[in-house]
Amino acid sequence: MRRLRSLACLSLLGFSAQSFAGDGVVEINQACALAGCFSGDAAGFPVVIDGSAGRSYRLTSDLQVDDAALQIISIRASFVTLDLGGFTVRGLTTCSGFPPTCSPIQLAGDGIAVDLPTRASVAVRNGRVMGVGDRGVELGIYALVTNVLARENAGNGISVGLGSIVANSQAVGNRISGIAGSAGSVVTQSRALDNGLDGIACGEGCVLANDTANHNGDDGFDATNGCVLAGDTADDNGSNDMQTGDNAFECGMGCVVRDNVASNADGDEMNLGTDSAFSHNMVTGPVVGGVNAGNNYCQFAGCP
Amino acid sequence: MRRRERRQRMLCLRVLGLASALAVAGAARAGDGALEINQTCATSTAGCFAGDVGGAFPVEIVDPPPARSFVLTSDLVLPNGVGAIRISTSSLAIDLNGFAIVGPVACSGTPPVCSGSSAHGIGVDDALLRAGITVRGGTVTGTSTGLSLGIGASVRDVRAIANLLHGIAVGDGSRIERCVSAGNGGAGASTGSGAVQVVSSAFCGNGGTGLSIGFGSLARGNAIYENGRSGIASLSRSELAGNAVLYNGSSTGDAGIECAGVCLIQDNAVRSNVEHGIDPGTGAFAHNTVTANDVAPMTSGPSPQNLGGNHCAGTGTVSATCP
Repeated sequence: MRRLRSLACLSLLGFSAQSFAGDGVVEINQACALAGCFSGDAAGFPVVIDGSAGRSYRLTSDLQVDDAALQIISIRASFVTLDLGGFTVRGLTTCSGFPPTCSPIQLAGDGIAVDLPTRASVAVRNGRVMGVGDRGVELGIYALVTNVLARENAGNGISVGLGSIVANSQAVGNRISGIAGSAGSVVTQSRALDNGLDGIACGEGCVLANDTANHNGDDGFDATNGCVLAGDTADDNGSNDMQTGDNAFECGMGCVVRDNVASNADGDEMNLGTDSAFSHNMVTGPVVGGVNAGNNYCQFAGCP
Repeated sequence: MRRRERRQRMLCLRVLGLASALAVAGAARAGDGALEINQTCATSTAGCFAGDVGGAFPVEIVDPPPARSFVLTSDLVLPNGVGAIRISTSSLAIDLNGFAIVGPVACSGTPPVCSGSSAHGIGVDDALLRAGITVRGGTVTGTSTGLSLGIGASVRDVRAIANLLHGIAVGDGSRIERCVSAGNGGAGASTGSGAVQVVSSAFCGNGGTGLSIGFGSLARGNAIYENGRSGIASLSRSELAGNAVLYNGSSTGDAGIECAGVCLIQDNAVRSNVEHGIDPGTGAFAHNTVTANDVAPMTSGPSPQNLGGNHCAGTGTVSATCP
């Protein structure tokens, strides 16, 4: 009774339903998602972050949608950080087999996504996004994704825009690609396994370093011009029989491909564009294109 | 009945008192013991903690500091002309805790044109004297230089976006890791003459040099993309390795990668820069691809050591294995 009276007093003093963690971070959880978590967020999914409640948010429970067609968290502002707090954002889609087949597929059913690709400097960290109807994590430019597992989603696992960083993250069993970066991005210390298409893909001028891409349906690593692929391991990629040209490492023109291990690809171990150079790699199958810059070991076929 | 009403009123007053005390307390501590910095305390007359004058930005962390660990518990939204946090001591950590420092400066275009008035988002009073400042986990935007932290600093998981001057400025012995510095009017990161480490970061669309580093530095595994001046500019005795350097530069003298002295430049993809690909100084270079740059793969001048494994192509190429 006394507690109720205190709450009544607090309400009179202007405290709202919005919950803050002890450190001022705005909380998101299943209970508030159904009722509306904070200003700008109506009841039900998606939880909408428009920045008016602040720029730092943290999950304090798992989130589970009850309608596969709904996005779970929609970020409609720049400079937002979402800490998943070790919790899971979960949809209703299930994926199975290889390449993964998922049902239901709902193109509006992203897990965590920005509303516009120009949203800048959004960070997502420390948790899991699983079983959503489209993309697991879909962010705009200058994004930062760390310590996130995107698993068995019907779209890409993790996608980021220009000039972003994905680090210490995993993408497993997603129907499309595991991790997809745009130009000028860095993907490092990350893993992509059992995804339907590419393990890790990136646009021009990316650095893909110290990553692992195993048993993905298309390329293990697929990068465009002027990228650096270094210290990566790709094994058993390209087993999606719906695709052709499935390679362990594929890069466009002017790439540096160094210190990698490529093995058991369905297509070429390395398929490189004009003026790309490869050195200090160990591969177990064909290398096509590129310039041999020395110190490669090509088992069976020899290096071109 | 009257007694119950009186008790109720007393309870309300106690709660009110508690709330007021929380609001005006000199120093609030987060659950982990770090001292809190937030918009309310920054602008309150009491200030955030001992040594902070209060009443207005910036929050002052003076010497000796009231603690060594600080945490933001709200965004800091700045008025014109001032920064968020000014540090006149050494050896402390600020966790941005996912929050943003938002100043009034606005930048647009590539290269960006910025306008507005601000001081550094987080800045030290003496960059040559203050040492050991750590900043992590948040955004700094719309300030003068986003972070200006002195020597021996550590910056991790920070996004410095659209600031008037540099995104990040640190001194000798500092480390920048997993940061994005983009759309700033000056350099993405500038480290003066001192030795720094810059790893696994992205520097994109800045008006000045993407990454400007001092003597004996290491830049490894960074994406340097579409900056207004050179992609990486280093003083002597540095290692520049495994970077992707594309579409940088705007005028004569710019290069994708330039070293003023003796550097080891290896394993970089240097492509489509507006002037030369690499200006290697008198050091050594190995296993780079230097392709499709507008003027020539390498500058002519003092002969650096070609350690092999390089591939040059495009306008002005003399040798596919580079000069």
